[in-house]
Amino acid sequence: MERTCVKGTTSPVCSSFHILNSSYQLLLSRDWRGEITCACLRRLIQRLAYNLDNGVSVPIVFDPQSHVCMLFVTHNDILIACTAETGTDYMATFIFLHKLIDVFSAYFDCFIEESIRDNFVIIYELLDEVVDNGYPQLTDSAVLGEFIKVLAHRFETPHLLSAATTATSWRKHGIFYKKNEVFLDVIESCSLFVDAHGRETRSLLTGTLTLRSQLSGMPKCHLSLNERAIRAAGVHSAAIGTGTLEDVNFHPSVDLSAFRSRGLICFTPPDGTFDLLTYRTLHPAKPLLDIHASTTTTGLSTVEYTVNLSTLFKEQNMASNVRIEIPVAADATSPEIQCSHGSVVYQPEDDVLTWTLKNVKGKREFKLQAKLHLPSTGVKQTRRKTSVPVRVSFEVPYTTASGLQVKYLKVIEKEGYTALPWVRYITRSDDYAFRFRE
Amino acid sequence: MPRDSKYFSSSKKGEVAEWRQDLKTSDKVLLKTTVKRIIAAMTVGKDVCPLFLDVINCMQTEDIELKKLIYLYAINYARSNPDIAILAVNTFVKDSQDPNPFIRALAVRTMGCIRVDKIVEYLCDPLNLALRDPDPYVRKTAAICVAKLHSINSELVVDRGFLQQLKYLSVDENPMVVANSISALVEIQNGESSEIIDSQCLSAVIASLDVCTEWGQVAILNCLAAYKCVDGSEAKKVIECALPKLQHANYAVVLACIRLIINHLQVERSDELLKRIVPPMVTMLNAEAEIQYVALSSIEDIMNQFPSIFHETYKAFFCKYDDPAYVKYKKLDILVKVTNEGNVADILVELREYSGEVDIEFSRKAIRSIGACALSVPAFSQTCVDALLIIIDTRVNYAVQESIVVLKDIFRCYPGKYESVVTPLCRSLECLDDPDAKSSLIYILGEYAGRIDSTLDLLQTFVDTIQDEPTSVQLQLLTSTVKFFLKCPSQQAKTLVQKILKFATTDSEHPDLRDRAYVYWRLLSHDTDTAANVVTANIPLPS
Amino acid sequence: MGVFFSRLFSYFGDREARILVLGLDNAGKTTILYRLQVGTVVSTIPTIGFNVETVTHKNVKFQVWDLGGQTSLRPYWRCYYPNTQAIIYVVDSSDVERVGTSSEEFHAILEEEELKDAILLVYANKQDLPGALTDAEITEQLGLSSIKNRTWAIFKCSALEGKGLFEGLDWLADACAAKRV
Repeated sequence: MERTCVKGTTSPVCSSFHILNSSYQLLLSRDWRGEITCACLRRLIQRLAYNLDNGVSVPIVFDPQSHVCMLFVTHNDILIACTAETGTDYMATFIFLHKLIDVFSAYFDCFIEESIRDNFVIIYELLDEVVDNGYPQLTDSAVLGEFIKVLAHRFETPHLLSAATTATSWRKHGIFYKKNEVFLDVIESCSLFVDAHGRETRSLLTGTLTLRSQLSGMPKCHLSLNERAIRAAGVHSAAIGTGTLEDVNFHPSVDLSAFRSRGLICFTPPDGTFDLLTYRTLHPAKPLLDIHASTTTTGLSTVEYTVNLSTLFKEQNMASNVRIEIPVAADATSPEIQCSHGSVVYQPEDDVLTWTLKNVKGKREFKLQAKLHLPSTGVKQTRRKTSVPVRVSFEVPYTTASGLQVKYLKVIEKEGYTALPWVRYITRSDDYAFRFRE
Repeated sequence: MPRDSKYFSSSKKGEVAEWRQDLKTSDKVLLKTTVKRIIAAMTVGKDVCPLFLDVINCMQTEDIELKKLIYLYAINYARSNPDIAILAVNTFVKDSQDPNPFIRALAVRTMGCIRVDKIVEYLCDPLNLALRDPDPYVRKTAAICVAKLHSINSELVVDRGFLQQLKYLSVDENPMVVANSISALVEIQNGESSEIIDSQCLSAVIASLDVCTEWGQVAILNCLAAYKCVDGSEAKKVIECALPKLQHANYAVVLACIRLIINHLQVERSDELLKRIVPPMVTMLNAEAEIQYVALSSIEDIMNQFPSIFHETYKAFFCKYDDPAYVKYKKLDILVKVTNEGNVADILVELREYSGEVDIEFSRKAIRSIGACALSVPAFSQTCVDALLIIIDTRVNYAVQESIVVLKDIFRCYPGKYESVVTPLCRSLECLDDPDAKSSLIYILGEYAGRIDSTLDLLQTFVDTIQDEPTSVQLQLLTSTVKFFLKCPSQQAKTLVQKILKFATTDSEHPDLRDRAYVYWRLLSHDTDTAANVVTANIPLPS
Repeated sequence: MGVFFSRLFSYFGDREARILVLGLDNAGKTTILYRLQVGTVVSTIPTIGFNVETVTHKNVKFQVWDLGGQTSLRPYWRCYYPNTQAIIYVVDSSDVERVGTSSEEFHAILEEEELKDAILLVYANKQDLPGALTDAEITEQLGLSSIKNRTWAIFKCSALEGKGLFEGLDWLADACAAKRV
């Protein structure tokens, strides 16, 4: 990184925007500031191509002859890139690029090279609304969606424009539902990594509170979470205990000052589905399940895999769709498999044994043993230990690993209707992996 | 004076001529299709510049989609046709007074993008009206347009009073207008935010922060970050209004807020504030790879000023096996920096895991990081050395060699401390082929000459094949052999030294090697004590 | 049924014609254009570029191009000449000093090869102002009588007062229709 990211920086977020295909050809460009010369752009693309072809994947390339750099993100088979002055706010530029990708993906089911040719008119229109002179204007796909489709036809009602510029730009007036309801989904994602000695080297719990609002008018909502959640960073000093939130990020519609001073989450929700808040804890209560996997080589050509699964969560809860992927040696054949519960499939093309258990209760243990044969060479070889760990995916409905709960949700609207809130909890695995034990 | 031939006699056959014809049609569908074809050709880099006049003539249309496409074309090619571009002015001016605010804004925005001097003066009147437009969409576009105008003709901006109007707009009731005005002001003042905010308008700016759009908040926060507070109470106000932004969903806002806090902390240190930065920065490490990369680089910067704040969150810097390489390398850099006595044990175990990775470059970097830990936390250098020995035991070629190089540096920093290590080290000789690794091992042999039984045999092996070795190895071998002789004089040692000196002075082509050999020869012939001083002198420690 | 009728109509009416409105700056071209199209007087600014509007009159659909008359813009008039059925030339009758210049430009237009078949309508505008030259005087200044082999006419008018404009347009519509047959 050439210049420090922490010094104040106030240049525009991007100077020009480009989409390239996997052969580094330009598919579409838009230049907002007229600062980048053709030669400079060519040099930047050449540098980018050289880097990527040689396995250097740093997402920024610098032009040696001028004060310009190119930042890019890979998406499917295309590269989304923009140029900017070296030393600009790189975070803002990358966030902007990702938001652009979200916008385009919302518009085209599949944002790939082909979609650009098929939709270049809309892409230019979107770029016009999203950026002016290199400064991001509007990157919320919900609002843009209201806006850009209307433009295709004669634009009759100017007041729709206010949607693009007001403080509650995410919600328009005059929404009506016969039945006013709100659906809350608390979805937690847990990640765990256990190394070859059984140590937890990585343990992460993140959560999202997704709201689907079918509410009329312009309602104000007050949401309260249980004690554990309130002790989050920013309100009082963060108490590091089990299950407390370490960091919370709110949707732009939330009144952040109210949260800071009173611990209340107050907001006027956009219509439809949106993420109200996301949070993270660094110390979740405990791992939800544990895997003890080991291998032994018997004789010259047989490897035995033993995998023990223990579910550590509460007895009354149940994990569903548990899927354990056990990597096995590449040249193994004829597996003999025994397991106490569930079914196992050997997938030789991926070198993996997949163990599936439909429903498992808490505080139980399950075992799998598999024998695989390797081509015999007559010599006992020291095999390089595989660096791929055993991966597990599962979900535990009706519970959150952090203990977070919604205490109440109040909806206040001048029409005075009562809204029914519905809450669902689920904990899913994001990246649960265990190395084979030594 | 332009002549018709330049515009109409087109010797080009094919599509451009066909389009030129089609652009004159009264069939609206055909017209729009043709314009789209032209834009498509433009997108793939075909030259459709000769069609400029014909496209411009279609500008006055009620079809907004068509109008936008033509405006886009105009922006791209106006500079190449500065004379004809003048003909578009009337349409822009008319559109800037259209009853539809969208069209008004479109006209102003497009005029600002056409960087042709002649047209710029015609921009002023429409811009003036737009800055006072009742619709905020038009005003926000006009605000940005002032900055565009400034980059073309800065005097005009000041003379016509646009700068003043822009300042007025920076406290507009509409958040997007405020956001764009501040961005425009910042650009015009070239980043000197001391001009933009002063004590009087500080409260207004702070109030805007809460109602502004997310991108406007980024601009305002960056502006506030550069603002030098007059006194403590002002500073307190600024920090208070910025702090809630640490919880914003847009990480650019969060980072801008952190920037503000860091700048403030340089004036007045506050541990409580410092602690507040840590959780949001760690959260960013779960975002997309590029975001992680910028966050990690920022963490590095912050640690240069405040070295200890991330010590406890070291686990956040552990690498996931599917992280892209550039993220992993940054995390390794930070892991080394974040090491302290409290966490070094865990970090070392983690680094050892990495050294066993399939990615060779990553594995070697992890091993080098173990070395760096040894140097930065002296109390744990033994643990590091132990870790390195375990790695050497794995007999994995590149890992062993990297470890030897690292061990050599550790020995030089802590001379005499790790003698027990040396013997097991020498057992791993057979897999060395990297010149750095060989040189490192030979150096160690020279340093610990007296403590290793088999030094003589080992050196002998190397000397026997010296002609096949690269120069760096030969140089090190020369020095180490002489060191060995000086520390453990014996007849065999002497023979060895003579053999190598002979090779270096007569059989070698390399001037450095020859010179050094001659120097040693002279020294040894004269006086072994002086020789010892010279040869075993300390070289500067690795950092 | 519908097809039969529309074919009938296209034989008799709904002709299309492309018209250029030319003349020195400040002659009143833009005012005239919008008087004809909208029927009211709109406030105008000097046209830097062009205005194009569709005016339908007596079943003739005129696509009318009003081109800016400033000196720097006059060289671009020729870009619009091809495929033009008629020229409306507007003269500011009260601008006695510049009537000579106006005549020069006028004759230059007549010389153009691409416009040799174009119908000519001259408006002697601003008749409402004191000291305005009469249409006979304008005819003489422009040397209209010596024009041969061309359909032309001159009408005095006042765009501000709305007088004389539609008379001229009537004539033009008839002339265009006649030409087709």
